[in-house]
Amino acid sequence: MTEITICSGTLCYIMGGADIFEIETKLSEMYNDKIRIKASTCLGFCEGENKQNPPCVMVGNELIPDATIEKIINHLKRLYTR
Amino acid sequence: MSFINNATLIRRDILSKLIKLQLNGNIGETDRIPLLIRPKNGNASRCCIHKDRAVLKYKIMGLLGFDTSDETDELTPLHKYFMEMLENHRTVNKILSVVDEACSSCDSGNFVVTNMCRGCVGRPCMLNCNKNAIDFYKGQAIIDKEKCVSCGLCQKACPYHAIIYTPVPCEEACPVKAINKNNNGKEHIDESNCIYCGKCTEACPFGAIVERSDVFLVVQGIQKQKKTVALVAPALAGQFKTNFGNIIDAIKILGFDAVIEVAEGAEITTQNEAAEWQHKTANGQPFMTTSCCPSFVNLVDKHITDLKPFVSGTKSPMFYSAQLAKQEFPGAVMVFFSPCLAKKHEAQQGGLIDYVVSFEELGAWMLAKGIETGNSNLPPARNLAGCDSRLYALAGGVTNAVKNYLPNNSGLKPFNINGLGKEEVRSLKALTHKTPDFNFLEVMSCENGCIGGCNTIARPNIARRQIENEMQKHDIKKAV
Ligand code: FES
Repeated sequence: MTEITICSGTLCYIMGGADIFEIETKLSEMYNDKIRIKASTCLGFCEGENKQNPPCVMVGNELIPDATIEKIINHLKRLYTR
Repeated sequence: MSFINNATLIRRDILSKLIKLQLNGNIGETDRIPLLIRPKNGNASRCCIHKDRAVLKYKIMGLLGFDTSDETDELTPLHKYFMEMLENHRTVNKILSVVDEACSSCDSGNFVVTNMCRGCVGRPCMLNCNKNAIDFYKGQAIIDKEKCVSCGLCQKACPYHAIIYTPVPCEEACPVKAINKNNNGKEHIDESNCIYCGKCTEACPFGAIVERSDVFLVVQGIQKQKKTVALVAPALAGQFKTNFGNIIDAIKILGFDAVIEVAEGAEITTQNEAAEWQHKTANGQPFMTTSCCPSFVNLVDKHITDLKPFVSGTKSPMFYSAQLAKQEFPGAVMVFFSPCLAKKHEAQQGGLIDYVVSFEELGAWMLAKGIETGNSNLPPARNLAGCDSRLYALAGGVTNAVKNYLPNNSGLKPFNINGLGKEEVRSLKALTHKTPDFNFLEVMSCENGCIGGCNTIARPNIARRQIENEMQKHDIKKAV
């Protein structure tokens, strides 16, 4: 089971994160029992040394900055076709 | 609802940057915003960063309510406009303006032959064109724009899909032909035809159509400790990834003295609408339409006057909520939080609401003030509104509420128009000439209803689920 955590801190959420929730409708059925999508409060990447471009999404333990639905799906493909 | 695009994100970025400067008393820094968004050595979206910066400047002016005609001196710095607007409480009636610098003057050639054309022997495009508009030059078809009537036959006939349709996105999206090119080839909005549906603002990929923002005047009022009341549209409940109680809490942290759910006003709309419908149909009127979507009301007023007698005279939830709020908080500044810009226009006409702040502006304001919506499980603030009133946020919501309110449905035969396009406008125009097989017509200008408004943040399907879940979680019962 892989968790997709979409940052819903204010910055990520309004700078594109809100749209990433649509990923559920775009994922192929083969992921149905492999993936759980959840929202989280600010992941802490919007400030400080580790600053990343919003929106931030975690796929499992891996961070995807400047995330798009496409990037996430590509990442999943890599994970599950190994 | 618009697809996410950079133009939208840039607008949100600008809004939050402007509000942040205002909150920190740094309005003088406004002129830096174009430089921050398009820094030296960074990437440009247009020919170069300088053009990008110039466009950003005019977009900021548009947000502040100034357009090119207000620019008497090109060297006037941006912060001067910002200050003038705040000092004079400058509000203009104009809601939308086209930023000429951003408008790409999209070619309205409509049908174009691409270089996929192989100059075939069959030449079905040429033979099937009834207007003789196609010729061949150097082995490729070309369309004579003077003769072409955009029927699209050549496109259908071409076996190579070599002929494409190039739309002008804003003109295509406008259901009422209110946006057209002016003499300079730039788009221009004809206010006398505009119904404020906001579809052009979503459609333009250059973000050239800018909506005036009043959020700065609200921020200023709160800074000056004016008593300010927020009235929030039911659609707000699905806009952030947290429950409604937390969103309302966030608005209080922004400095509002009270937050009132407009769903409370929707209860009155439902009652009045149901009574009006019963009365009118009993008196022989074949059908009645809803009236809470201001864009639809504008459409009838400006383009389908024959339909006017059929539109309900009941006021919108915003109106009734504002009346209630005025009694409860006399003298307070009334701010409506809105999913769309048509409400801005309605508020301007109505006089009860002082300012309209869009959901997007709310998000930008929260960002500027560093407010995170919490994780706790607060129920909606006062919980005075029932489930049916909260569902006003969704297409079909008004119908649902009226139906549930009427005893045994009372013979209500509803029909919904979910989203106004050119097609829907045509069928509405035809409506007065025939007796339809429904007697209650709900019209929502935006697909999905208010959660699909042009100034929303969440995707409609996500927002819908969230609103429905929330009602289950807090066991919000039907009020009637
Ligand atoms: S808002 Fe997403 S990392 Fe802070």
